[in-house]
Amino acid sequence: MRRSLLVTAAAAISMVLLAMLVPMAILVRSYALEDRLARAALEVQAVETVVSGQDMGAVAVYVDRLNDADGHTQVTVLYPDGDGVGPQPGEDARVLDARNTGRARVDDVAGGSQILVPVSRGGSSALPAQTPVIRVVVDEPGLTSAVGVAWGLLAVLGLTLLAGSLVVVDRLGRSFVQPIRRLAEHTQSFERPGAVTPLAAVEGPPEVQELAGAVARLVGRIELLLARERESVADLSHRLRTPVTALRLRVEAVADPDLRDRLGSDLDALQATVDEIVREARRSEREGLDPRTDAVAVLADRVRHWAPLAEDQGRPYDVDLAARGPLLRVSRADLEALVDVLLDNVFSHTADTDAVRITLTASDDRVDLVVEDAGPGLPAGLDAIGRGASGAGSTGLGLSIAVRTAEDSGGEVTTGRSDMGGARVAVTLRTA
Amino acid sequence: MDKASGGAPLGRYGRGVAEVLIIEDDDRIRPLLVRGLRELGHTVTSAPTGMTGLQLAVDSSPDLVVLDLGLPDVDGTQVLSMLRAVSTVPVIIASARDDDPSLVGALDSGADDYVVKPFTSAQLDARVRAVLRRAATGRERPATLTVGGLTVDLAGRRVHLDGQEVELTPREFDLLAHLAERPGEVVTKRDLLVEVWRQPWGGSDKTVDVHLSWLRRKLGETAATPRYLTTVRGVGVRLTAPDGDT
Repeated sequence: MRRSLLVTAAAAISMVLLAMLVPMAILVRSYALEDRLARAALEVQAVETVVSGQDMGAVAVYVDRLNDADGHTQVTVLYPDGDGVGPQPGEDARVLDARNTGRARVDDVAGGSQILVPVSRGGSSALPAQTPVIRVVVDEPGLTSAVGVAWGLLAVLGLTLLAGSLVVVDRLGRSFVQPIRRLAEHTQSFERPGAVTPLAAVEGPPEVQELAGAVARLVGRIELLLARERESVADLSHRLRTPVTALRLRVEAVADPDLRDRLGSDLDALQATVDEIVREARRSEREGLDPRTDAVAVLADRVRHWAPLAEDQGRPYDVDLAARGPLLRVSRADLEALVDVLLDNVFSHTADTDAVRITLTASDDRVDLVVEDAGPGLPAGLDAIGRGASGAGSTGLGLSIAVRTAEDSGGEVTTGRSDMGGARVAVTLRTA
Repeated sequence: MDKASGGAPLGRYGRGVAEVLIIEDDDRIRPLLVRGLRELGHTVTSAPTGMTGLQLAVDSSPDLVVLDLGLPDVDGTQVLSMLRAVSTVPVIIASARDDDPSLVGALDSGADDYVVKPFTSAQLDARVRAVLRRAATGRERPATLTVGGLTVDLAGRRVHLDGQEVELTPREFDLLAHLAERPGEVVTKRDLLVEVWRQPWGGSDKTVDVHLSWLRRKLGETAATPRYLTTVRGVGVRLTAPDGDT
């Protein structure tokens, strides 16, 4: 934003300066040319006096002295018989016009202007054939003249104004941008789990202070809601686990061991469901307001976490892990739980020596984790990824954790048979 | 409140009677716990509120207090703080709250152990006996455990093997410390899930296995060539000093 402000201001200020300085530069040059023309006119008057009263030789001496003295003007006297004094003798249509009409004229020529003044040496009845013409060519003022110095001063002035203006704009922009940046950094801290730190006093324009106030109020509201949610979850945990405890204690007192075991098994499933409900209710507390995780890094770490067990078992453990991938809106805990569920199933339901292969690939918008094994495969007809189903027959919620994590990210879980002979579970996680 | 006495003493805190005060507001759980612990040989007193429980703890001086955190009148943590101001009686927190802040807060406030609901009377009894054994020997936990060349500094949560420090994760440390407290004893994976992972129900043996594998790596051994950690197939795992070490 600060850079955009600077670029915009630089463009606007440059245009204003150009609109002001360019005409000024042209004006300076025009004044300089007019000044030269005025001085040339004076010289013409002097030359006219000499031409009208002196012979060509005297005129030549005088003209040469003039031309030597002033490098910006070139005086030439063109006599009607074709003779001339001074540089570049020769006549053109303009000279003829001046001689024939007897009127002086000023013309623009390449590199400057020229003044043509006919000199009547026979009074008012002098014929054109008796009229020499004085031509004074005045060079346009260039960069080496005082105009160049003036233009340089104008350029320095313009650059100074531009730089000064940009400094002012930058300070102004910083006073806008820094409070907004602090505000943005503060809001980004919401992504991290844990307590939200209070926003320090924000200085800056009233609009930014107003925005900071609104954010602070929003944060307060969010904290209140989170606190209520935590209380609600604690209450939920209490309300669900207390009757389960009572059931546990009652089942423990059942005399018939078979009935006690059956009831205990049912209670295990109920307990797992309760734990899952509590865990799900704690999701926002666990994730923070805006979870973003380097899924590839977390998944790869967790896959490597299981490698020593495979090594201890003598189980081939083939991993192919992508080096990097996109940030996903999934918590680290959920990603780790996802890998744990998939690999726990493999280690629990295949022989120690059955190979396992884990492939982790990633593109800009998705991460794919495929776990395959050389075990017996999933039982026929089992809806392994259905909520509440499990090949483990223990908690009944094994793959549903992976399914929910994948679906929450916009992805999916698919199961099938691997070319290794056993089960294949593919998890797709997406960025949106 | 009620008070009931169980069977004859079978040995001070080995497998016998202790005077236990249960402070629990739930009318379904409280009598069941009273009955369950009574059947296990304890003398049990109970109170449904924090203040009555506190009064009873001061008046009757029980051997141990089982305290629920979610009480109707005063939060259990406050009851614990007030109790600690006047008594050193061992306290086991029995709560449905299983979040770390609640657990850490209770232990920091002076609780001796923490058991998460749901639990059975037998599990609570095991905790009661363990806490009372520690209290009877006049110690919380030894500061350092030594098994062969392995030294586990419980207070500093550091482990040294043959004089070299071993970097462990918190879970690996808890696992090793639990085994080091029972050298030579086969500890089942279920016990480890209950005591180290605090998962009395559910949990997977493989979770324990993978942490044991990491622990082996860090102790410089493998399952095929064990030194300290020996797996007893189908039973559990045992921590012993290698042959030749003391």
